[in-house]
Amino acid sequence: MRARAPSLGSVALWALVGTILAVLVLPTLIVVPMSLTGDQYLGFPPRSWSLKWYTAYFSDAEWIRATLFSLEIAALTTVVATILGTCAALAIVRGDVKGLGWINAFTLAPMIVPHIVVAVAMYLTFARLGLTGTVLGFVIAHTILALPYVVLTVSATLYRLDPALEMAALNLGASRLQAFFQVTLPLSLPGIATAAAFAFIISLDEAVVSFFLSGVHVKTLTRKLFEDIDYSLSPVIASASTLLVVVSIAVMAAIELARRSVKR
Amino acid sequence: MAELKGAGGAPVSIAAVEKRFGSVAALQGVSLDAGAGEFLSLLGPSGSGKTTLLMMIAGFEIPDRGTIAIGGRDVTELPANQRNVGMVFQRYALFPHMTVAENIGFPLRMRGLARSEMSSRVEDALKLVRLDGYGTRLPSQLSGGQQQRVALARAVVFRPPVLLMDEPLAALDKKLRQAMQLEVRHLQRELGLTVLYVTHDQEEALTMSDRIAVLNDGRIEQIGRPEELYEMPASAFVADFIGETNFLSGDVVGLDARECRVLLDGDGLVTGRVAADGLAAGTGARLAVRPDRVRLGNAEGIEGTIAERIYSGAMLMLAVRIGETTTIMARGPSNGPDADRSVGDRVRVSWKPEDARVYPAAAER
Amino acid sequence: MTRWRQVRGGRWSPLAAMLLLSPMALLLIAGFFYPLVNLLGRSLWTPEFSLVHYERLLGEPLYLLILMRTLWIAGVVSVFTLLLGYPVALVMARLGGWKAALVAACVLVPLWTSALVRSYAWVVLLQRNGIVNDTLRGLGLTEQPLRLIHTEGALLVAMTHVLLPFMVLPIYSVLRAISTDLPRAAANLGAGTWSIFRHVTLPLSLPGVFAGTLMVFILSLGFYITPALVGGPRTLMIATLIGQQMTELLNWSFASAIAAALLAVTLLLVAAFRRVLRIDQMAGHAG
Ligand SMILES: Nc1ncnc2c1ncn2[C@@H]1O[C@H](COP(=O)(O)OP(=O)(O)O)[C@@H](O)[C@H]1O
Ligand SMILES: [Mg+2]
Repeated sequence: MRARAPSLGSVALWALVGTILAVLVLPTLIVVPMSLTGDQYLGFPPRSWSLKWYTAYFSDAEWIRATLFSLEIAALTTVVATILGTCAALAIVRGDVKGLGWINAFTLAPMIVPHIVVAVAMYLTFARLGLTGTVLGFVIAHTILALPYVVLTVSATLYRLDPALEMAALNLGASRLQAFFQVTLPLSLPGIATAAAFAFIISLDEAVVSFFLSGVHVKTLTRKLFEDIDYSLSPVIASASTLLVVVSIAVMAAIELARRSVKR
Repeated sequence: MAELKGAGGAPVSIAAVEKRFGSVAALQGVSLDAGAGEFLSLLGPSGSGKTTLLMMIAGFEIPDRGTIAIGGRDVTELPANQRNVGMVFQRYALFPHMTVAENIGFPLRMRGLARSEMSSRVEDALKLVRLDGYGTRLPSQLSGGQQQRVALARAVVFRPPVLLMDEPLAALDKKLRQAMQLEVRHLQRELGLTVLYVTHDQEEALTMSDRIAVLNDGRIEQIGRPEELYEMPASAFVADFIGETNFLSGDVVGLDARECRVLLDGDGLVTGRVAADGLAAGTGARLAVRPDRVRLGNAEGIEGTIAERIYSGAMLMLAVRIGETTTIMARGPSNGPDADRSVGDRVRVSWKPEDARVYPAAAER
Repeated sequence: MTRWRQVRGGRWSPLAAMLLLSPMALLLIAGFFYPLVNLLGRSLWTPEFSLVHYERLLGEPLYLLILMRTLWIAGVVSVFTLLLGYPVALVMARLGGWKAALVAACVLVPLWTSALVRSYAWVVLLQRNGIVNDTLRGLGLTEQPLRLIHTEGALLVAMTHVLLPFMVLPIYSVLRAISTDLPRAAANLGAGTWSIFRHVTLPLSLPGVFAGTLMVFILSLGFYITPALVGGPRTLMIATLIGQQMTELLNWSFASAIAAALLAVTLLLVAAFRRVLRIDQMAGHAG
């Protein structure tokens, strides 16, 4: 068999797509080399290399406080959104409910409304209740933003699960809760874990609502980044960004790999 | 093995059950009694309401009207997990994350049995379905037939008095299906269970059942022993659904208490037993006669031409063309008296009046 | 034991389902829907009912200009992402094995990284002595460093970059679902590559194109981060205008009115095109 010579058109297409992909990825990852500069000011490519901006990041109390605060919010959001979203998905997929179309629209609404609108609306209400700049306020806000993704991910898993399995458990004498904890839950765990990862990343990366809900002293990592990008071009911002990117990509890649290995 | 024998079977009694799903009337006034230890099949085409009926007995649907009793106790509204009936689902519904032994032990665990008692019962159940040694495997590591047997073991290990099966063998190939039919029947006798067995395969229903209930459009057309259904189908639907049948259309020309004479559309006068109400002189009628009861000869009966000759080993099927539109199939042993007939021969077709049954034409849907 | 407590077809009873839904529902009502209603109220009652803020939004040329600019930028970004995203989706759908995984990674990695960080990258790239200016000068194309950042061009480039994955994925999933037999059958009938694309692949992929375009358009309308960082005073969009009114001018009622208008436009678009959008298929694209 003779290999067909690739046509001019397909070579051009490949070159075009290769370029687009490069332009897509490089600005995303460019913060990594930028953060490793030994220079005093941001520039690319760096003239010398060093880890000093990571040292600067880790020894700056304000950066660390913002990072820890973001991690705390993300962790709490993950727990709350995963539990509430899983319960809701269970009701939507396995419940005897009427008006599914409305329930879905209701659930997905936070995904549709522009974040700037959510941010302003939440700020106005939360400020009056003293919830701005508090852990509770942030967890409420981020849970609401993460819920649609959790519900969608978990329901997709539940829809793939044979309903006869739960019926079999009931038929064999299990209570509703036993059937859930012994059969449904273990079988939908991969989907629930994916949903939890989404919730974590959504909270960690969220910038707009966080910008408005942050106080002068209590702020998220994204708010701190936002402020500093506007005022300075210190390479320490690149270090913080790199950490944010690495955590996001690591979590999502782990989920993607786990999902592939389950699917086989 | 004795360990698995519970109290034997319990009677199941379904009285005037109705169920609608929106505009669909899935069941319309179904009454049915299965005796203790009886093997009763629910036979009917797809959509006739078989699964709905089974789901109600299992407690996954509630009838709009009517009652269901198991062992004399009204269970119409009892939750599924308190009914203590075994069930084999169509695609087995084995828990994929549990081993075979854990699957079979599940109902015992839910009933809070001691560990030692549990493992000995699971062992017995595995032996019963000839899968000893397979306890540590996962369901995905078993063949279809083996998974089926695990599902069976799981459904009987907690000694339910009633076993429900919804087309349990439909996914298996023919050989395996026949072997499993024997196995299921054997198990049922061994344990003395009452079995309600859903199938759309009339052959399977005929070979396995003590009695068969034929469902059509949410109604029971007929309940009876396999021979009764085959020999005395109560409606044209049953005659058509069970076994093979020649249907001949015509008009009633003579009628008494037992017999009915029909003038066929394509000419020819034939006689059969009155099989249903609603026949009157001058009305349309359908006469049903089994191919194996049709006799070919040269002296009596209606005249026709052999149009086709179908040889299938032990049996020989001849298609006899009568007039323009009618064909009558006749079947006999391939070494029988009709073996020499060939396509194009003129023959006369007849049958004993008691072998043919006449239904009103309106019964046709 | 009443009938409504029973399970139907093995489902959770209506009561149990309500109980399962209620924590989420309560949170959404209290933390999301109530604030939105409150926002609407603030834009209309000051403290008496009046449409003054809306009149101002639609009456002053400056704000009309910002509205038009927002629509224009959203439209241009949609077209750019479509032009760039379609070939990527096409190649991605044709590939298999590690090559497909590589292309998918190139699309997903930006999706999984915060838009904030990606906008920041553009701020650095486009600054006075950033890599883009350096390159332009190195090539001898310019003498002086150009003012790139805070221009409309910079904003268009950065937003196209940030939103590109939202265009690629819907088109990809539609292209992937097109049976490979169809183009093959067309080839069998003597159609050339271009003609197959023109008459078979392209028409079949239109639902994905619509979904992606609409998605990018809607996201662009309400986009805040990139315009705030890369754009400047002369590229003010609705979202940045809202931000400005909120944080700098402290004109909360007017900000509420603009936000309510943005919300109304978004909801109208979503409601009108909800069949095309297929929002429920976005779960995998979170981030
Ligand atoms: N949960 C349900 N919702 C709506 N219609 C149903 C439901 N279950 C069954 N039906 C309808 O009821 C009728 C009987 O169904 P079923 O009992 O499954 O029949 P069979 O098992 O004999 O094929 C069918 O018309 C079917 O479409
Ligand atoms: Mg069925």
